[in-house]
Amino acid sequence: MGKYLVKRIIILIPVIICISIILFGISKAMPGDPVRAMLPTTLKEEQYQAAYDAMYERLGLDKSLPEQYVRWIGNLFLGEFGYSTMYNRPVKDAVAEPLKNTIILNVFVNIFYLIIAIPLGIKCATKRGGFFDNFWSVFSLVTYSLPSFFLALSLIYIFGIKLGWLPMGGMPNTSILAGTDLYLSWLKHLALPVITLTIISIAGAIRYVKNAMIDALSQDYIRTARSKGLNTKVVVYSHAFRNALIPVSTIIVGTLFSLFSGSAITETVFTYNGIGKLMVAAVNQRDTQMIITMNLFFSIVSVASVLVSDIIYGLVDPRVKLS
Amino acid sequence: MKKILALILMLAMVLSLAACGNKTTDSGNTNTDTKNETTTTDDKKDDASEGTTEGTDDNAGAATSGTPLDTLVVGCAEMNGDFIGGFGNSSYDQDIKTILHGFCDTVYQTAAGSLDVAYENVVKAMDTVENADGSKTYTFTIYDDLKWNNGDPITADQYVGSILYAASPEWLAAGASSTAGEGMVGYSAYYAGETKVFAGLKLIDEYTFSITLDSEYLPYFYELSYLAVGPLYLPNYLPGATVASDETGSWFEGDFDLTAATQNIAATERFAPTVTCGPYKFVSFDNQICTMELNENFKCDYEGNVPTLKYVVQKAVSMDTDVDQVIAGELDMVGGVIEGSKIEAAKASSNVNLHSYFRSGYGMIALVCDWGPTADPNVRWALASLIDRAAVIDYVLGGYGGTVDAEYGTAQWTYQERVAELAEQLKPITFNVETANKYLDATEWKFEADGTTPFDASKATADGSYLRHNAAGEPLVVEHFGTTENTVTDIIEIQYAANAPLAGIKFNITKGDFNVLLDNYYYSYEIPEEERIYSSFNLATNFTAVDDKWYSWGQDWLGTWYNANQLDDDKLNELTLKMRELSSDQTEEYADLWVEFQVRWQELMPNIPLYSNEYFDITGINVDNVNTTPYAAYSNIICQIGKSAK
Repeated sequence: MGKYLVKRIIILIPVIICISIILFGISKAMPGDPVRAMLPTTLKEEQYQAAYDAMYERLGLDKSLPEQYVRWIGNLFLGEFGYSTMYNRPVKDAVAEPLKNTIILNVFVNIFYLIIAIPLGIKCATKRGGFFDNFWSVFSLVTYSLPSFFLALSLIYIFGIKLGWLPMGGMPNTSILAGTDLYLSWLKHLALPVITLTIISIAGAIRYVKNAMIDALSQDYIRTARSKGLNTKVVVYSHAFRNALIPVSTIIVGTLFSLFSGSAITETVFTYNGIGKLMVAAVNQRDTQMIITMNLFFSIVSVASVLVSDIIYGLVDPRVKLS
Repeated sequence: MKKILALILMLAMVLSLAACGNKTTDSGNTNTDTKNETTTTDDKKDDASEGTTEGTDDNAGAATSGTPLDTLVVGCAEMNGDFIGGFGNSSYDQDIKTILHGFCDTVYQTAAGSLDVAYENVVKAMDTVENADGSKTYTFTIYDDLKWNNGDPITADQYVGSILYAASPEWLAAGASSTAGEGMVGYSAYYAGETKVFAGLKLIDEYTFSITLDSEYLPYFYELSYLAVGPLYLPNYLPGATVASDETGSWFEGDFDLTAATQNIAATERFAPTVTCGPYKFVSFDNQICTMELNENFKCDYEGNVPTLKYVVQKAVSMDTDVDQVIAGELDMVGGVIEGSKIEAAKASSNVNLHSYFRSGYGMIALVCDWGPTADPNVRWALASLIDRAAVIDYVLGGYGGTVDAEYGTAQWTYQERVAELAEQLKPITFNVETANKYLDATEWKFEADGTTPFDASKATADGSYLRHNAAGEPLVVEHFGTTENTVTDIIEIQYAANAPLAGIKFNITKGDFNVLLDNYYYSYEIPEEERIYSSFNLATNFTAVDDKWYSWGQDWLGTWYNANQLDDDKLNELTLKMRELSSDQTEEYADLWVEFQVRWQELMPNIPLYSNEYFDITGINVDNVNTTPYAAYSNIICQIGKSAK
C-alpha cells in the first residue's frame, strides 16, 4: 500500500510539471498587454511610461520566459502565487474569500444532493420499471440536460422577481448584519444557488446509485438472502446497498474534492462571490496569474481526487489489490 | 405520494413556463418614440443639462423597498477594491473613493461639467499673483473647521504633503500613478527624483499654503485643474514626517522612510482606508460589498449639503437582474442603465423613479488616419455614409439614445451655448450609398480590377463581387476590429456586410479581446507598418470637465497613444492650441474656437460618431434628491441624497 502510494505520487510529479508548463505557455501566448490594461488613461506621456516601466518590472515581465517560469514555480513553493492584475493584489489574497464562499456553498449542495440522491437511487432500483422509477428517470434526464443558467434564471424569476421571497443574488452584508439576522441572510442568499446546483447534481448521482443498486440486486447473494426469507429492507439496505456503496464511494470522494471547485455559471448568475465567478472574471480581464494559478490548483485537486478515489476503492473493496 | 409527485410535476412545469415567458412590456413603441425625441437637438440639450425625473403610477405588484431608511444600497458591477487615489481605474471604485475622500479638494468639477473653487466648504480665500517670470502664484487659505473622521483637524501642511507624496518617485515605484503637482514650478525635477524640494509649493501657516504654476504651462484655459489638491493624513501615510517649507519650496523632513511607507500604503491602506475626510468612513469590503458609515466629523459638500444617511452600501450585482432588484426593493439604486428592456421594466413599475441624462461622449468607429485606406478623409466620409446610425441606436440602445455629428457630447457647456451654430455649420451625416460612392470616386479607389476602367457604382451588388480598386489593381479593403460580445460590433458587422459592397468596399471584421484592440488602436505606432492589419475600430469616449482637445488631436502627440488616430492636420492642431492657450475667463472666445474645431474635425472625420447614450439612474421610490448628471454620479451628490418612507 505504502509503496503503491509513493509510486503514484512520483508518477504525478511529471504530470503536474507538464500541466504547469502548458498553463504557463498558454498564459504567455494570450494576446494583449496586461500592464496597459492596468494603467489609467489619464496619465501624461512621461508619467505613463514611468508607471508602465515600474509595473512591467514589478510583474517580472522584464525577465526571459524560462526565467519567468522558474521564478513562478519557485514562488509557488514559497506560497506566492503571483499578482492579480484584476484586483491589484497577490493572488492568494484575492482568492481566499471566494474560495471560502465556494466551500460554504458546496457543503450545502453536497449534503443535500447526497441526502436526496442516494435514497432516490435506491428506491428507483427497487421499484425498477414502476412510475416512481420512470418519473425520476425522466426528471434526471431533464435536469441533467438542463443548462444551469436556465434553471438559475427560472428560480430567480419565480422566487426573486415574482414572489419576492428570496434575494435574486449577491452576498449577505457581514458588516451591518449580526447574529441571527446574519445567519438568516446567509441562508436566504444561499437558497437559490444551492437549489440550482443540487437539482443539477442529483440527476447524475441518482442514475449512478440506481445502476450500482441494480447491479448489486442482481447478484447471487441477494437471491440467497431473499430465499432465506429475509425482510426486503434488510436485503436492500444491509446486503445490496453495502455492496453498491463500493462504486458509489468514488462519487463521494469526488464530492469532497468538488468542495474546492466553483460553478462558474451558477455563481455568475447569482453574483455569488465564489471561485467559479472569480475564474470567469479573471478570464474576461485577462488576469493571467490568477488564471494559471487557479487552473494549476484545480489540476492538482483533480489529480489528487483520482488518486484518493483509487485508494478508497482499494480500501472498501477487498477484491481490489493496490500494488 | 401521488400528491407529492403531482406537486413536483407542477413545479417543473411552472419553471419551464416562467423561463420561457416574456416580460409584458412593449419596447417597440417606446423605442420609436424615444428615437424621435432624441433626434431633436434641443430636446437633447434640455435632457442633458437638467435631467428628467419620472415617476410612474401604473402597475405591478412587487414588494416595496426592503432596505432600511437610514441605508442607501447601490448596485454596480464588480469592484476591484482600490479605495485610495493612485491605484486602479474602475469607475465603481472611484465612487467609493469619492465618498471616502471627496469634498475636501480645493477645486472640484461641478454637476454642470465645469471647474470651480471650493469656496463653500474648503477654501476660505484664494489670492492670485502674476509673477515677473510669467508664473502665477495662488495662495489658498482653508477653513479651520475641517476635520478627519478621527477628529483630527485638516491643516494646510496636509495639502502640501499630499502633492509631495503623490508626485514622489517612491509613490510611483509602489505601483501608484498620479498627475498631482503637474503644471507647478519644480514638478519635473521633483517627479524625476532629482530634488527632494518641490519649488512650487509653500506652506505659509497652519491654514495657508501656496501653489506656483510654471509659466511654461500658462496661460491655460483649464488652469484650475492644476490647482485641485486634497489633503493627506500624514501620520498614516508617512509616519515620522512633517512638511517643512522656506522660500525654495517644500519638502518632507523628520525620521521617515518614504519607500517603506508608500509600499505599506499600497499593500494595506489602499484596500481598507482608515483615516479619511469624506462624508462617509470605510467599514468593510467583503464579498464585493463595500459598506461605509457616516463620518460625524464631516463638514459639508461643495454646495453646503450635509449627509443624512447612516450607511451607504455599494455592492456588486448581476447586470441581468439589477433593475429587477431595485423594483423588488433589494437595492435602492442602480446607475447608468442603458438597456431598453430594463428601462421599460422600470417605467412600468410604481416602485421606482427614473432619472435620465445624456452621455457626455459618444460611441464611435475610430479610423486610422496615417495608414491604410482610411488615411484618405474621403474614404472615412464614405464609411460614415454607409452606416444607418438610427438603426444602430435602435439595435444597441433599444432606442434610448441619440447621436452627435462631431467630437462633442450634448451635455457639454460649449455644445449647449453653440448648438445653433453647430447645427448650421456641421454637415448632416446620413446613410446614403450614392453619397458614399461620390466620396470614393474622389479617391485612388476609383477603378475596376484592371486598374484602368472606371468603377461603375450601378454594377455593385450586395454579394461583394464587384469591388473598387486603385491603379495598381489593389482592392479597397477595410479591416475592422471590434470586441466580442459587443452589440455595437454586431450591428457594425450587419450594416457594413449589407452596405459596404454597394460602394465597392470589402469590409472585413475581426472580433477579439479589448487588449488586442488597445494594442492595435492606441499603440498602432509600435507595430511595424508591414504587420499592421486594422484601420477601423469600434469603441467609445467620454469628456470630462477638462476637455483639452490638444491631447487627443495635437500634432505633438503623433506617434503616441494620445493621438490614437494619428491624425496629422495643421489647422486642427492650431485650433487645439489656440483653445487651450486662452485664459479661463475667455469662455466666449473658447466657444467660438470650439465650433471651428468641430467643423474642421468633421471635415476630417477621424471618428464616425454612432450613438450617444441616454443614461438612466433607477432608484427606489423611497430615495430622494437624485440629481445625477454626466459629470455627477451618485457619489458626487451623496450628501444630497436622502430616503423617506412612502
